[in-house]
Amino acid sequence: MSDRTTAGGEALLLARLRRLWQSIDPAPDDLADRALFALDLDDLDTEFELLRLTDRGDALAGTRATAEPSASMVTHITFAGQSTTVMLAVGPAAARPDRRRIDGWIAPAGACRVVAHTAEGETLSTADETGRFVLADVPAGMLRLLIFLHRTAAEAAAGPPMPFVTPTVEV
Amino acid sequence: MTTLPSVLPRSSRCGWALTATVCGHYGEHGSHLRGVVALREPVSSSGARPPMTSAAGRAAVPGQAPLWQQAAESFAAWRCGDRDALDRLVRAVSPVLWQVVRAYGLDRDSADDVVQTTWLTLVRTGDAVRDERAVLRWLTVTARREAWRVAETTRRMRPSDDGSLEAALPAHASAEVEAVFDDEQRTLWAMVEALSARCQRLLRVVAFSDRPDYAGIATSLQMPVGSIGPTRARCLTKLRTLIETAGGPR
Repeated sequence: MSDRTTAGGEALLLARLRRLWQSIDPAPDDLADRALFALDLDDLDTEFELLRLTDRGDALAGTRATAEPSASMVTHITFAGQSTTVMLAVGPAAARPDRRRIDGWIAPAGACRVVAHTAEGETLSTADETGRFVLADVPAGMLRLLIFLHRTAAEAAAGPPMPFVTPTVEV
Repeated sequence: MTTLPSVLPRSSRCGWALTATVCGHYGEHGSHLRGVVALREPVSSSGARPPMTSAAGRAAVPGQAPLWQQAAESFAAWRCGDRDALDRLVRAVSPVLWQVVRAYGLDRDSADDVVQTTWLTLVRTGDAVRDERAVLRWLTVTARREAWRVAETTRRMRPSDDGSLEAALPAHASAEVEAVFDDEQRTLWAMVEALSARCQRLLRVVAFSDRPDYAGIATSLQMPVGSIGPTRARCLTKLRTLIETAGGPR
């Protein structure tokens, strides 16, 4: 019988298949970087709810013709959890290619603290009663948000809010 | 004041499960001991590739330890306080997790999310992994379960006739990728694409999560995944038949 019927032959075939898929569909180069960025967080063993990336897309903001298409591109990102949704609109900050402005909306709405983790460390913002917040000037690159939101009156009475945490995205 | 990496493992499981603990050797500066750790399973002193008993576990490079072993060493070192070890673990294993998760038909963003979640789960609940040698298996099982859950949720939420079908299709080789395939790879890919979508995805999972074949560990893993034996054998047999039928170069 041919070599292919032995266990070694099967292992060899699987190894060839691995190389094939790794060529066709390799993992993003920065996947490990972003995962490690997500793990580099204080109080990782405290309670938090992880929001999941559920949608992302690019859109042109406005209709004016522009010589710099990238200046009017807005990236929409949605994170969702069991009962909470966060939507971001990411655009350039002051036409600088290495900075971003992020307009965010949290639903259900409520005033709360928002902490953005980027390459520059922590940036603080506050959402108003409608759930809207702005991060006016953050570096392009890795971003992770922590949202400190009380979900119920009972939670508010019990103490500091448990954070919602997003995965690390590239903006 | 220096900023310390925040992920300090506060684990009582420092040390190898079956060998004498090596944690005494890892102080605050454990990274210098990379390669010194002694393992229960013998690794040839010449660094030669171990016998061909596992698929995904086998080293990609001759002389390099199998992935399960690298993962075990890094995981053990991290639990003993070597902070750089988590970096090594995540970098070594993330590409494998990506492959396994994509096999479930998730789009790139969802696959990314699942891989990140898997690492987060390990860091938060890693004490549950009693034997370091099981960590690669734990990671791929956790990633698969989460990928399945997300795929099911996505499938239920989306109507079947919109563009989301694209995410469910097997990976297609773009023209650029195919251009660098040699004849053997191109032929193999054609054979794979001739399989059912289900077989393609199953083989992808199997290729990247096959269990190392070492005795004494299986019973202690206690991680039932569900038997995929018969279907796996059928899909592999179909592929081999296609390859053997194709015979020599066209």
